[in-house]
Amino acid sequence: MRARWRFGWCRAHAFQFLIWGWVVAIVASYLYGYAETIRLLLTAVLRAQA
Amino acid sequence: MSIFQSLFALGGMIVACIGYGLLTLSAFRADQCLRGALERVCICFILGGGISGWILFFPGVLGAFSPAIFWAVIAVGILFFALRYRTLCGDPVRIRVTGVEALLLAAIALAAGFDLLEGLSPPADADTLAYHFSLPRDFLVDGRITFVPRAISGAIPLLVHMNYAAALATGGELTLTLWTMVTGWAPAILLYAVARRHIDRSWALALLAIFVTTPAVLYGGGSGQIEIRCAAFALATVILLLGADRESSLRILAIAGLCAGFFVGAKFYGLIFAGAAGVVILFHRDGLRRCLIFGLAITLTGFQWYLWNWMHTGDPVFPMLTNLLIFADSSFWTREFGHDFAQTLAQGELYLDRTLLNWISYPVLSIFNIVEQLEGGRTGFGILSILILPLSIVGMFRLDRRQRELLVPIIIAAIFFTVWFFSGTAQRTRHLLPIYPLIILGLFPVAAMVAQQSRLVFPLAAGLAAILSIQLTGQAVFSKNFVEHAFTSESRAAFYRRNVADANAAQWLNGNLPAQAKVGYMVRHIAYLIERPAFKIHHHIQAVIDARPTVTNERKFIAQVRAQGLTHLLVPGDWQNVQATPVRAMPFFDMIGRLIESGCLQQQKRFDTISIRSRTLRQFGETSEPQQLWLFALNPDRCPIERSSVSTNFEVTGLRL
Repeated sequence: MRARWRFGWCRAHAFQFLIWGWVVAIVASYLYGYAETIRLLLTAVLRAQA
Repeated sequence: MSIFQSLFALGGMIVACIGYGLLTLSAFRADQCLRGALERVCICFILGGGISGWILFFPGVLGAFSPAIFWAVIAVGILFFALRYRTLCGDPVRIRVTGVEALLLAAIALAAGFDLLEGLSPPADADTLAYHFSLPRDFLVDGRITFVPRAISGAIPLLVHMNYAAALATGGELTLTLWTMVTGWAPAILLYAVARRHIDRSWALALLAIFVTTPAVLYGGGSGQIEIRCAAFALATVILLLGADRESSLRILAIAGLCAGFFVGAKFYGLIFAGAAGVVILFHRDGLRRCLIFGLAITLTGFQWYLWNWMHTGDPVFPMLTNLLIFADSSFWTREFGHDFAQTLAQGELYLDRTLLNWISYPVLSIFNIVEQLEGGRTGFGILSILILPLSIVGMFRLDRRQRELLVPIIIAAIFFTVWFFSGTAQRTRHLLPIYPLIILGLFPVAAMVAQQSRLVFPLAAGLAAILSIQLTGQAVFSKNFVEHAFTSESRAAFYRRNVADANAAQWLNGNLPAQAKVGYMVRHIAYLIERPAFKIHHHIQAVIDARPTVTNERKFIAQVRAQGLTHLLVPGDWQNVQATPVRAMPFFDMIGRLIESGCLQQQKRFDTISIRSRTLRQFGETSEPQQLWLFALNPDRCPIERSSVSTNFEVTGLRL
């Protein structure tokens, strides 16, 4: 009974998991592409604070 | 000009454009073809912008480019507005704003505030200074449109630039920069208005907020770049095409053709767009007749600049046919130069081989900045399209008959992208901006509908919030420059010294060149800043003064320089020690060195400047290389003379390049 419940729950949420994964992966990849710019900005901000 | 006059001129231009749009809808008896007041206002404004640019071509070529003409065109537009404005009004609607909507509105207001500050600052973008603003300024100085025999940035469709000239003539630079801001927002608001047909206000506001903070929109919106204004024409065309289909109206189809023609008149890529839209129309059950009407309307509004180019060069799409069909050598273009031009373009702009694999992978390579030369990072489209793609694909299979119209913009965009990619034109991502709203219009409403149906609102909203946060941060960084200028007592000159390499040289030339002097310069981005007679000696897009890196014939070079009446040359490089300067490794600059050594070019002044890769990141510590410019005076007595060449050079001594 419990196994069937778990399977049903997973199946119902599989698309949600997929979409969450997709969203996180896309945003993370995008930020990774900007890594050098972000490093530059953070350095400037930290330097300004110091 | 006073701020009051600048704002008055701006308001006049906006109202006049809406007036011309209303006149067009009325003339085609299509007043009620558009749903909602906002949609009608946007379409009218975009249509009117095209019409005013189209009208101004005629006084321009007839030598009547005076403020009185511009004011008259504005006054007529305002008159039409006064006569027809009642047709704009929709039914009064009571709006209740939710918390999410209030947040989104705050984000949009913040973005608008940043854009306004950019609009209040002097123009600083390189292309804008090189030709988008300098060409209209030069036309105004000359009192007429003059033909500029320069590829890419001279002999091009200039419909949008006619409105720049109107703004500059009636309200000065402030009107011009604010006009670019307003026209940059036009496609965004139209996108919102059309998206509202399919989705809730919250989703549409999120779309608007993300669109206006998209890197490519930020880059092009507030500057003189043409793409965002072409996006307005493209979006209006597609909306009208859908309207024509819904209402089975050939009149609306004709208006769509007018809009597509404005895109054709604004940029060569408009030809690809017109073709893509034509293909879609052709598949209609009454395709041929519809295509004919659409094509006639395009020809009516788009012909001007192609005829203008053809009259002066024999090539309506100069220099494409000139190179392709190998036209005979002329005073402003040669076969050898054309070959080098094509090679330079291929080396500098075609980063991906034109293969099927690269065609498919281009969006990924651009969006994630994998191939940096595509400039998909700081001037790209962000991740919205790819983030919503899975939901959109799922949604495509669930569309009902009415919603299937959302496929039309995607099909047109896909055809455009395919032709664009394989045609061998520059592969920079921002050149695709005209079709980006079409892609978003097709994908976003579908994704939002699927998210609502499949309990996926939360992940989609989280993704959109992340995009908006990233892009707003990016806009804040981009706008720091303008905030600093607006909220300090920084002068215009100081702003330019901080943001535009070589601006100090232009400022010195304006104040110190002798009265009869005319300067030739090689750094293109100071064109707008030089307020003296000048000639742009670009090394690979013009051949009137041939300055390719391989040029070594000093007699011919000097003959071409003298044919243009130049008295001074502004040359890059450190010429303190003429024998040992590193730039002499290039044959052209070695020739310049020989001319200096012979006394033909006499050193006048050295300008210490810096190279600026990104004016935004430079504020945050990005390194910039010091560089020099030297001003030389031409001493004809000591120059080599070519016996036969002067008389055969391009016979426009007052030519401005």
